[in-house]
Amino acid sequence: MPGPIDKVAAPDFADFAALADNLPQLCWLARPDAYVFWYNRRWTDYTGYGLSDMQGSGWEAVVDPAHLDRVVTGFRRSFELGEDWEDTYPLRRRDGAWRWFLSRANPSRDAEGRIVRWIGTNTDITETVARDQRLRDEERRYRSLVDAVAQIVWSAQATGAMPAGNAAWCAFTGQDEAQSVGEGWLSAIHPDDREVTMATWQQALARRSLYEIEHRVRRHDGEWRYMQARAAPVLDDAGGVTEWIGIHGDITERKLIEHELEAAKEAAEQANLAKSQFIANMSHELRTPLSAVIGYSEMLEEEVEDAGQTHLLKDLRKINDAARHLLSLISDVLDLSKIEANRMTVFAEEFAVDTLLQQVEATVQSLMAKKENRFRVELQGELGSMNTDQVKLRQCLFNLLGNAAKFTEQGEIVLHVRRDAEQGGEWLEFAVQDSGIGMNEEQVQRLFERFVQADPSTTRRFGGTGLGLAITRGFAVLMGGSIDVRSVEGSGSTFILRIPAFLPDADEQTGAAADEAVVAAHDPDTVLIIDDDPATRDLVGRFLEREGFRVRSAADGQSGLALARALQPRVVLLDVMMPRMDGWSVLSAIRADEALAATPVVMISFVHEEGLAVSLGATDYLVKPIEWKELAAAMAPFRGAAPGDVLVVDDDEGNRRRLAGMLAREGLPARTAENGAEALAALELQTPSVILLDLMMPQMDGFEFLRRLRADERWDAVGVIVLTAKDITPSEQATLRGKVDRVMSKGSTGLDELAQQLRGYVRRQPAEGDRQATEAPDRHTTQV
Amino acid sequence: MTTILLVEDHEEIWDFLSRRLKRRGFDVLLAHDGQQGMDRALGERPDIVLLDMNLPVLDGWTAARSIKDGGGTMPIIALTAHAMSGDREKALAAGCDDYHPKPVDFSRLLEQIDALVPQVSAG
Repeated sequence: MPGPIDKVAAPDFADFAALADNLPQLCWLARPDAYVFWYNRRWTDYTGYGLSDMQGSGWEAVVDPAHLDRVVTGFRRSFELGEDWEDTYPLRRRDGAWRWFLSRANPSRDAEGRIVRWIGTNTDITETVARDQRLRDEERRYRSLVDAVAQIVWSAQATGAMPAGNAAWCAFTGQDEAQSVGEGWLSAIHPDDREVTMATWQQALARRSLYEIEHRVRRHDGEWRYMQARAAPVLDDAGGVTEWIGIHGDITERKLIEHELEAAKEAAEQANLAKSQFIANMSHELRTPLSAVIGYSEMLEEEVEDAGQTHLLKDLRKINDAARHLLSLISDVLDLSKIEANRMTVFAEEFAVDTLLQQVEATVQSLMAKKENRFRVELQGELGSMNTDQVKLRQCLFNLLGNAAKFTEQGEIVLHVRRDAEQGGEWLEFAVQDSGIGMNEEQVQRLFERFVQADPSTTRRFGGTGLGLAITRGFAVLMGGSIDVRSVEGSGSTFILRIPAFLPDADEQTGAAADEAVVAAHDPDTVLIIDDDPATRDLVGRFLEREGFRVRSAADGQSGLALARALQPRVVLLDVMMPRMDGWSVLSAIRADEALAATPVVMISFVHEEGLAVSLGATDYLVKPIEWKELAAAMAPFRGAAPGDVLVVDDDEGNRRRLAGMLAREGLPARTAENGAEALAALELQTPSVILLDLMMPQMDGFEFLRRLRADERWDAVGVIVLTAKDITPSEQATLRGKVDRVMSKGSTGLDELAQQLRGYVRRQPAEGDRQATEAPDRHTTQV
Repeated sequence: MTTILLVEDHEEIWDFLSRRLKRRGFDVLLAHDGQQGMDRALGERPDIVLLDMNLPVLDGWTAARSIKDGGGTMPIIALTAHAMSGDREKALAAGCDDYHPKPVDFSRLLEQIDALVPQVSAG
């Protein structure tokens, strides 16, 4: 422990020298005439030279020659004027390396103010200099990068405000700095995109998450450009946001191509639908005159026979045969076009398999006899009954047996049928085996393609459209089954048709439709489409959704009517031709139902029956194929401000999910937010009818959110139901008064009761002043 | 004599069909749209109705239901365009007693008529 200061001898030069030797700097002493007469040990350690080499001006030998003149001039001048000296330059180390030093010298004066000596230091600043250099390099590289990328690079403050100096942004948009700073940049965004841009930006700021958006930006020349923006927060060591760095890329070309593709796809879909409708109509139109040809030729056969002109019979039969052949070809084309357009429906019915086989056997006998083929049916075990589309299964078997008969001469054709026990007896397997010409591998591969026969020459030799197998496979798939072929060229083929005994999903489908009708809640803003054709349901549905309608659909009249009763929809689009219950019957039922009598109904039909439609109470009438413009015009009266959705604000994920699930079941559209800040952003996107608000949340709690919500008159009409687990104090109660409509306790509120409350809101938006009249929330009386 | 009401809008169909039926000894009444068919069925009470499904003014299904609802008790055979799955059920649901897919298989049609109007032997 050091003693009192007066007992210690005053420090002498040796003490200062020892002190100087221990400094990290190089030190030296000089006379007033700039003659250096002393160096500390670090000087010697660093430079490798002692006093003998360095005294006087010897130190000049270790100064970087590039700096020497300046250094010496400055050094002498300071000594002449008696002013402090400072300079920065490299000094050579003993190993020849150069390091940067900050060098300083100060004069030391006596009592009269005369300079007695100079004290100098040299501090190694190499690391600092290098760091500065690195920073300058990095800055230069960043600048080059910013200049090199095609995107606009910009920065924003942690608060989200744009600072001055975003030159690229200003250059692109033509905004000057004053226009772009703060939130001024928003005015360069397309007005229609501003709301969503701001909401997305606010959300990213609140979450400190990646900001990503596509919006239109006005370029300096006034043109709107589609741009993709991305920004990420720059975090400091503590995880705080120091700023945001973002880019804007011009994606206008891509957008235009996307729009073109979408338009082209739509046009193609429409053209495809029009094509299949045309083929269906055309085939139907062709059939009537063919029926007449067949009918008249048969009638003539009878009359010719009666008249004894039997020599004409043969020719009349040829007319009849040719007409029937043409009819079957037309049927094939119609079937295939329906399969392709997804318009082929299956109809399940219960039937005994052996009865079906007897009919098939009887029908194909004459066909088999044509080329002197032997035909037999081999049944394996009990076949039982099936519940599937009998008409289509029969046609599949005719096609396969017809093919076998066509490509086999004086051979044998066997139909093996068994119920597949390996599959629990739920499958029936029909194998048609022939001893005909067979096919090679490549032919087998192309077999099921449309219009393709095993060999082009086949058509000339055997005739046919080449559609039969494609239809057979299409039918098999529709019935939930498959078809396979085994063939060896020259020694026959076996076609194996496997069909589920019970048409899959048939029960589930009707079940699902019924369920849907039951669970559907009133939704007075939906459009209900009732059409048995899935393609029309899909296309019309998508069109209407694009037009901003909410769409529900039903596949037949009965379920459509049930759904209409449940939904009480805004308008019904009703197909005329439907199985079981057609459109006219549905229309009559709707008009007879008190709750639905006023519901507008737009009929859609292939045929012009406007008069009938109007007399039966249809609101409007559209003819298929549907013209989108006409549909849009017909639907125009049913547009209107849809009531807003329900915004669920709760920090607990489980709660959010539970509430969203309940809302979905109620048919109420819902959005969720994790805290007050997110909820504010969600409000900017769309005004909800009602907010379900939790009070205890991180970041921004329910009280603060309410304060901000009620400060903005835009949200005056938005109802708020507080749903909290917290006990509310009298002062909190006073805060909530007038700001919320109800306070409900989380623990004791049932979802059903809550749903009932919400339905009231989505139905009836509270009129202004309503809330003031509402009683102050009282947790005791409103707990349910 | 059995009276058949044939409701069919295409002349090339009703012409030969009515002539062939007459050759078999049936009395044939004609109607060319659904409304007319319904009116004649209820007004003239034929023994059986052959009813095309794709008819102008009132389609076949609606006409069939209207006939039944209007007190018509005579059997109705639906003439459908194509042997489509579900055609039979659809016709039966509308109140028809049987259905016959076009093109007409005349002998089969006679069997169906016979089955529904057995007391009178035609032809």
